[in-house]
Amino acid sequence: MAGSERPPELPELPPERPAEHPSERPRLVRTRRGRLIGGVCSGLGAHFGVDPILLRIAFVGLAIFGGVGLWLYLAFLLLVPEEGASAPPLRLLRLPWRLIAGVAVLIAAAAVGLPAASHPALGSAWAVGVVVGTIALVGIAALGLRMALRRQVSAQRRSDPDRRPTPDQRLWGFLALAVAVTAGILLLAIAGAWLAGTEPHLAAWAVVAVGAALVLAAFARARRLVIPALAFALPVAAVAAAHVDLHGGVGERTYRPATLAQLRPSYSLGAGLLEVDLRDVQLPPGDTTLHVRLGAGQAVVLVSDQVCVATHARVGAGYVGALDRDSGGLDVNWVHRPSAPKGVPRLLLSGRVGMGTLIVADRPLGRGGGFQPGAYGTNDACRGAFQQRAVR
Amino acid sequence: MTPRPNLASLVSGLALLALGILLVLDAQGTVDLGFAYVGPALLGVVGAALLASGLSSRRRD
Repeated sequence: MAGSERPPELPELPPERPAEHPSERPRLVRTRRGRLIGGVCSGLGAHFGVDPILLRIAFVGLAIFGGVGLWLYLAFLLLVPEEGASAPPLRLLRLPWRLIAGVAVLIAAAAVGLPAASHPALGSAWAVGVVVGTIALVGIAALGLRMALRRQVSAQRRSDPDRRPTPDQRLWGFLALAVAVTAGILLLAIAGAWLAGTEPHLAAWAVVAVGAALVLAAFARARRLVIPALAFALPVAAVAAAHVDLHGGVGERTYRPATLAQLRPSYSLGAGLLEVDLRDVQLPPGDTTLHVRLGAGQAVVLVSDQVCVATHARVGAGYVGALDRDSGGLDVNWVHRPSAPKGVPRLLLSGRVGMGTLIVADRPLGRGGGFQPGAYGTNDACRGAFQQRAVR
Repeated sequence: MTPRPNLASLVSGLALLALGILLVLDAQGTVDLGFAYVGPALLGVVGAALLASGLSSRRRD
């Protein structure tokens, strides 16, 4: 039968122990034949007598909803042996204790050391340092795994020139390379975005330099620089287009002035959550100007319902919701300038957000942070509603 | 005879050069770039790089 013939490139496998009884399930292994990635679903299907396609659908579904499928698949990949292999890739009970202890100590050192190193260097933006450091460490670990696998394959070839890498060696080599490349691309993208948000001139000239270097590299027939170059340049362009200004720190800032004297003319933050709560401030009749600037994230301005709010919002990419109105999209330049009745205070709000949202509301947003026009204030002060109520 | 340059690198480099010059002009305040301009430009750069890469791999085959 043609379907049962062994492909020529696969090494000879030791026969699996036949089941003693016809009803006994075969041993759980990751099969070499019929596999799409690591042979997990085909192996489980053979073990439980289920169509592997159904299992693949289940894994993809679990991966999409919560990511459980990915971790489950990875666990099977590490803990279930490949067909023909005597042991799984990760033998927890047989690993030398020094290796386990070394990995645990290194992870602990990174968990303590990254925040400790990020605090003095980046201040309130220390979380960025932790993320970048974690990506770099994961990338380095993946690169180390890839190099170790290549050494292992080379050693096998030296002892037996006809021996080819096993499907598991190929799979782990590919996964390690993919993780290392992804980490590198992410680091380049973060570097580009950070540079564009802090030093736009330098970032723009850096894109010119990268383009020129790529042209020169083309004549040296180098073609592997295209993806790193794009990974750096595209975030620079996106951040520049949104006019994201990352000066002013990163994190969560809340300002709650109690008097008019404490109210600043402008509040700004690089990235994160910026909240300016003006509900305790007695604004005088007439206009009071307030500037709010945010590079990326969410800016929330809370105002009393007795204040008429006139808004001029510029958002590179995102959403603006001001009391009873909203707008969103790219290059938002939104002006709503109602006049206030005589004697009613009017807040002239000028908001600038690079990427994110600008919200004007009469109370903090509920859990989940969703804004509905009209649900958090109606700007009735501009229509004199509160003045009429007070006269009555 | 000089070797033929790698098409994907050449096209991507030229596209990035053009994009970089636009960004320099924006940073200097000569032009005011928004997503309306940069969005299509980004897609153009990616599309040109992919097209050139596809053409050069066909040429290799």
